[in-house]
Amino acid sequence: MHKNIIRHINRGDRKAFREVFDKYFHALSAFGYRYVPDPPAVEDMVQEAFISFWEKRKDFTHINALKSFLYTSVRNKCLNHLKHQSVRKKHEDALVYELESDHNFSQQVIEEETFSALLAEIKKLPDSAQEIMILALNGMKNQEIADELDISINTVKTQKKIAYSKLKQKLEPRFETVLLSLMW
Amino acid sequence: MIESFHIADLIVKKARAKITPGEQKELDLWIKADPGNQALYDRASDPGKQLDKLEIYGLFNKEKVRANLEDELFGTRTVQFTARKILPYAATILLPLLVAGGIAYMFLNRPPGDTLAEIDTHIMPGSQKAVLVLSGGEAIQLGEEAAAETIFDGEASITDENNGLSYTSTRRRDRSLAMAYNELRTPRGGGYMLLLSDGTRVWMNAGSSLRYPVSFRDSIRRVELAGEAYFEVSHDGKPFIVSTGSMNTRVLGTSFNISAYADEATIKTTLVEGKVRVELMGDGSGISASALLEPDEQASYERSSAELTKETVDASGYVSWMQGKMEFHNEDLEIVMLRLSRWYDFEYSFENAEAKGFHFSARLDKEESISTILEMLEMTTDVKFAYKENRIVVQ
Repeated sequence: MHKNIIRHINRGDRKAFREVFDKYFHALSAFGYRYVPDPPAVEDMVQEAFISFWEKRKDFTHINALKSFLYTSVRNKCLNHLKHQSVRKKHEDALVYELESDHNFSQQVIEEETFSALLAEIKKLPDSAQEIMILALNGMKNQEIADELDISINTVKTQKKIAYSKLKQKLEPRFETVLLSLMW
Repeated sequence: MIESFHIADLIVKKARAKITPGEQKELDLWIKADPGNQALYDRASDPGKQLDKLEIYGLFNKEKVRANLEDELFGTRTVQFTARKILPYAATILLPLLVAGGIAYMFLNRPPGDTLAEIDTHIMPGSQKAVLVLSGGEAIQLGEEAAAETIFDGEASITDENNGLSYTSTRRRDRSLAMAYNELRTPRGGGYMLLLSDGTRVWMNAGSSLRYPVSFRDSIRRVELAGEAYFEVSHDGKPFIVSTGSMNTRVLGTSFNISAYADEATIKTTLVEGKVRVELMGDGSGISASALLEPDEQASYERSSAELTKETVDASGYVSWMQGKMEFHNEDLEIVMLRLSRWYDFEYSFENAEAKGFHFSARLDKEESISTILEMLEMTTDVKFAYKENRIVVQ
């Protein structure tokens, strides 16, 4: 992310807004989804979080403060959502407990931040390549992917090659093995 | 929570093998501090878990939320459509590349012989053709096959060659005769060039018609347009008026484009060169509003509200249709389909009404096959096209 992003945000630069949105949308959504497994409801919460962030855009002095603000507002919205349900199920009580724990909250933020950074490259692939990678990660063979998507097996191979070359950015073997094993 | 960001950063650095020894030590300490931390670290480096997360991401419609937000926060909805990963303006960049270089990434998605490619055998780009209606009502087919010939009508001789029609005033002036009018009509999938007797050049776009005197003898040169045409008006001291229903464009000598299709909500006059005045005709015969245009300004008349507005535009984008291009500037898919249908002459329908509002920008070659254009639209917006019973269906 741009070094001066916070200054651009303070100034109300629309591009900076978009950059922040693009970077945190999925992480915040996945975070909310853990507590409220209803994607449209979570989308609303995330949307509101971004609106309040933008209203306070002049107050942030560091990108971390902004990130904290976004996660915290989604957390509070999830809590509200869970507490205001007329009929609360048992496991939701456990979720409220988990959400109210600062330790759990921190752990969850680490997880979402890590995953979204690691997956950033895959998310940048074109739809078609991404689709193929997801099917491959799901354990489908090239021929099965070709049949599923109604494309030739050579297309599958080419797309995988392109995807792989884009994804292979000096990942440590531990993180890389699955990608390698999926290639052929 | 700042601590969380720092730890996440360390794990990502570790994954990318960019971690320093000091940071590694810090990470190890954190992992050992709590069994929960070890578990979290293991999860993050488990590709299966990464896949699960990617699937969760797929449940959320990022483009939709972003469009809502931009609409709410900035008041303009630049990105309204739901392409999930490809940026909307990719079309603008990608399309010329595809057309020019044939680097057809998208073809990988679609095998030959598929329904979209098959459409090309039914629907083809338009060509230079038109029908000329003489003052006596006789209609003459113009275009590819028609042989060059000269005919006379009223006070002018008319020559048709090289896909252009030209008028020359004859010496014979007979004031006892009423002024003779001709009409040039381009069909859907057609287009034609016209040189009027005063030296004014007119390029007619598809599905348009222009009514004009074969020889101008009044103190005002007046023509009537329906559809779209680009004018290069000659200077001869007499005002030249293009009337398009309730809006007139009055000029002295200048180049401009008028788009006044009956099935579009607005009439637009875009000035390239010179100066024009756009006049709104009120209920009587008087002028109810007017606007003076400078080059690169555009006047729009909204039919429903009868409102006239003016804005600065890049005029070249509005006249490129003459140079064999078709441009869309963040247009609704509804308008995109309408314009494509005029040039490619096809019928279409929307199965999914929501798709009408998807936005699209591109600069296309008018010779491009329809299937390539539809594939491009499929790639950049969240729509699919099918060809059923001689019509293109937007799904």
